[in-house]
Amino acid sequence: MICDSALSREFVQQGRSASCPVIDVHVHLGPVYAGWMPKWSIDGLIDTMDQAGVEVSVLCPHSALFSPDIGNDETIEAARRHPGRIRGYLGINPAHPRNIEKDLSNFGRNRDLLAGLKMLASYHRVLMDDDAYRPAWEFADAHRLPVLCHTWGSDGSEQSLRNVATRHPNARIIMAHALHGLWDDAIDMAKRFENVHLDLCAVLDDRGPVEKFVKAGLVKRLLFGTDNPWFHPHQGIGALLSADLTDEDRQDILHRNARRLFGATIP
Amino acid sequence: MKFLDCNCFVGTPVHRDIWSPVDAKALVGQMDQAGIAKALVWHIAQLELHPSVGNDLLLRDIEPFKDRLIPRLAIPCPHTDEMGDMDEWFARALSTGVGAMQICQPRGSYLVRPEVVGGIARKLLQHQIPLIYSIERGGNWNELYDLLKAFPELRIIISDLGVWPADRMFRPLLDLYPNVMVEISQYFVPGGVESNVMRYGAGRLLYGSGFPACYHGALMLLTAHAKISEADKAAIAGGNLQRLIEQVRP
Repeated sequence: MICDSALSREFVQQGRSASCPVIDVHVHLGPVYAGWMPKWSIDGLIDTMDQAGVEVSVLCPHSALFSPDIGNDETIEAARRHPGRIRGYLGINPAHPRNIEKDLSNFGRNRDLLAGLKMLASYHRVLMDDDAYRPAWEFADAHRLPVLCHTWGSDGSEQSLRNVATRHPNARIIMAHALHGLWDDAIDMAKRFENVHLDLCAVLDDRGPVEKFVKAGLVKRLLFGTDNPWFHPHQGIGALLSADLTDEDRQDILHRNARRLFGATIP
Repeated sequence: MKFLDCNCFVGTPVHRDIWSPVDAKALVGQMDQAGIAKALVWHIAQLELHPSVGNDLLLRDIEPFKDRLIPRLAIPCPHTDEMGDMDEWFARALSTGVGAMQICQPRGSYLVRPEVVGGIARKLLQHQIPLIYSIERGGNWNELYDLLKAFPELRIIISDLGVWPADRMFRPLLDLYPNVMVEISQYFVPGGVESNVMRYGAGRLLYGSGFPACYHGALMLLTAHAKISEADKAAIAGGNLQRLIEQVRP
């Protein structure tokens, strides 16, 4: 079923793979205005991870992105409760520079729980090369941190990230959703900047982009992400099994590339 | 587990897209590779050119594969000269072995309001033909709510939900109308299948792929490993669609 490969057989029979422990680099947590999700609690999230063989999730709760009154408290709490399974992105909201300053100054204290930063620029209505983000980019550059950046079509993120990638070559930029729809531009970005990676969250519900990225020679720059608790990892894994890829490609995408990018900051 | 795909299409789209289009022969080849036994299939020209022209292209293309591909015909406007006599149109459609119908809603299409589609709804009810209602391809929830209020017994399969979790939209309809079902090609919220099966039983969900715009395997893997009984999985994978097709009355 799905395709004739060892990895496919393993996932189809067991729902998970011992030889391919998944690392999900794009995860959220908790309630949000956009829709009801039955497993948006931390326990629900861990249950979904177990179901699909996701070893580690790197997450930024919805509250950290949409409620400055709560901020990053849930991020720290989730990683503290599940140190072997969860790492956090510090959510950066450019509308509240004092919060950024405070969160970044506390980053070192929670270094064992945090893996990077998360920016949701188009939702926060500030481009990623705006001065409001500068302290966060300088911090990421100085500490060689991964930064998960929401990018979607022509939302302005492409040009702003080109500027940022040039200014901060040590920041490890993850283009969430890989500029969804502007696939050629995403390829150009990843080829031009060594510090740019492409996250396949919400990319795998379209047939074709992942093969295009691999054909462009970018298989080592692709990361598996799901937006969990929005999308079940089985949906993305099933898509990868159907796609015209080798099991080696799938292993790179599902865990090896993330392991290389995040290094010792994830369990 | 036997999979029947409730949502796939053939034909070349007017615009280039990232996915490569397929004809019926290529579709069957891909179904063999994925392990899909049968599929309810429509033609992109039903949406992008005209329902009648698309229906003709569909029937011609799938003719050699009638044991695997079941037609999903598009209904032309009943108030112009496009449909002709409604009884004759439905008789011809039924003679093709139609498994479901759809109303394509590009710009300029007729309105799916009770005043407009009342005659169609009565024919669908008479023959127990499921109507596939695509949210992402031109439909909208308010229109669907009004249609079901007027025709509460209609067999409606809500399709192409959009990828944002849509339970807040479709659950009121599942609560109110026992013949409403959901096609899951864009329903992959964790715990969603389990939660709906617990509340409504497995008879309200149908596997669909969205192929060739989406991959077959995505919802196959999710369905196969949902935390529900094997019987419930089999119903969602294909049993429900099989039953609906068999219940179409000549």
